[in-house]
Amino acid sequence: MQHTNVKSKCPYSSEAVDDISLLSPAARACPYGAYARIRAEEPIKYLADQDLWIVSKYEDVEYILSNPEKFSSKEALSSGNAYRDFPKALEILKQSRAQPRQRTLILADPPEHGFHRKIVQRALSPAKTLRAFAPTIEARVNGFIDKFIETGRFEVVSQFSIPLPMALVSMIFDVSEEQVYKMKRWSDNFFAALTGHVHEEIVINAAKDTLVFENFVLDRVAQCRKTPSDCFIGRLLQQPEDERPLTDAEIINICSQVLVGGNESTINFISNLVYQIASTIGLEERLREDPARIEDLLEESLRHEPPLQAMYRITRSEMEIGGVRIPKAAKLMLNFGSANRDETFYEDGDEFDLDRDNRETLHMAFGRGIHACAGQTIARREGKIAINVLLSRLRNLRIADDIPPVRNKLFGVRGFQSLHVIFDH
Amino acid sequence: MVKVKVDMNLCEYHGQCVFVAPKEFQFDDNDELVYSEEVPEEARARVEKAAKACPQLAIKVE
Ligand code: HEM
Ligand code: SF4
Repeated sequence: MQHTNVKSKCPYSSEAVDDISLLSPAARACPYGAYARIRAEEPIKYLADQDLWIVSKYEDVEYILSNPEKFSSKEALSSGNAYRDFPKALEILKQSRAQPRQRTLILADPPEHGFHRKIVQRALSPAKTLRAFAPTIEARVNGFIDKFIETGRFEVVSQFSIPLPMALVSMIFDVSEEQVYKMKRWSDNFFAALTGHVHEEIVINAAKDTLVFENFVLDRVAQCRKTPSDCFIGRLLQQPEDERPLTDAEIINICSQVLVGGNESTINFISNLVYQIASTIGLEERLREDPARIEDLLEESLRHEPPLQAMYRITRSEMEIGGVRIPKAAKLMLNFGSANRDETFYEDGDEFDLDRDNRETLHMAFGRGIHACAGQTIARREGKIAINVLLSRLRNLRIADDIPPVRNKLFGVRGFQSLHVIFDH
Repeated sequence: MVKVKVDMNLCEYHGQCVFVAPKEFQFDDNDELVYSEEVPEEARARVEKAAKACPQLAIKVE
């Protein structure tokens, strides 16, 4: 059978982005033009206003991720000062029970990181988790679709992308539906505060929610200590004899990282998948003819539109990278969105191409090395189930022309605030 | 044939190898890593890439 190649070009990338600031509205619509210019003109570029070095080439990003002894993760989320300028929030946080403050997992460096990582990997045990939950997830996705199928349209983010990871997170933490939506609010506020550049009110809410969340986790810890449980928190407590137990602060931090990681990036991942199908001519047909290609869709989407556009590292000493001198304690933005389209490794990287071999050059959407995403197997499975079920129920998906898609405000999370899609069934 | 060895004291189940070389590396139903200890020459490039992707540098290819 003859196939048309399903490729799609970014509708914005032909526009010259003069303003290289990644915070401009044009860059929010599409940052990739700006990235391409940075790669061409100054691959490691210092942004004075943010005191930040953008690292844009694949090789440099990979080198930094692979050398944690030279680059610290202590501000991996760029969150060093989320609360610093907000005395009211700091006052609230004095009541935090996550004391003493301890850099954990995503923010930890070796050897501490390895200790956290091992425990989290054991507690998440992706294969076991997925075996237990996959059938339930599928039923839940069908349930989301039941609610809107008669109307011939849906708002993807709120009716599809959000409920799925929420359902999964609820299973991981073994909590009720209602609790899950409370957790979503916490996780939203965490995320807003973590990303910086936000209003005082949001930061104060984040601080308050932090305390609510800590109490939830510590109550659960107390329960699990009394009656051993096989939920995620219960498993965090089961350490082998030769290991020290996690502190309360470490447990709280790990849970909040899994909550935020498990939610926000996965929500945007799913929206990006639906957007790609609804906006690329011929893609839906090809996936329908050969559902095995859904895996290629996932990988190419993660390459083309990594939901987390960047993570951060701090240099431990003065050094040279790619011929550029960088001082000690400099903050580096490892730009996955740019590395994933680096022309040295990807031909026509701006193009979404279902036939691209993503095993040839591994994309950076989940990072690399010791901090590589601990939930990647889970995220991939969520995406796969979501698209499988979607295609089995709906056909001829297309972007609604009456309400245009709205991009996220924060450049760091690539995805949508709202995305209206129409379909036949 | 190409010899592949994973040091299970180093492996932390990141699954990068499973992604890069799914024919040679899999997780079984008990979350244990199972892999082919001998692979044909054609698969060399793929298992070498898996070795490179492994965050723990747990995979040796001869
Ligand atoms: C498509 C969805 C996802 C994306 C794009 C994503 C992306 C990432 C990236 C880039 C990192 C590396 C951070 C660094 O190097 O500093 C990371 C780490 C992490 N992710 Fe994900 N993630 C996703 C889904 C998930 C899910 C579903 C979970 C949990 C269930 C999760 C849990 C974690 C954890 C715990 C870490 C920290 C690992 C460590 O520091 O050793 N992620 N993720
Ligand atoms: S990539 Fe390395 S650490 Fe991960 S499962 Fe494979 S061998 Fe183990």
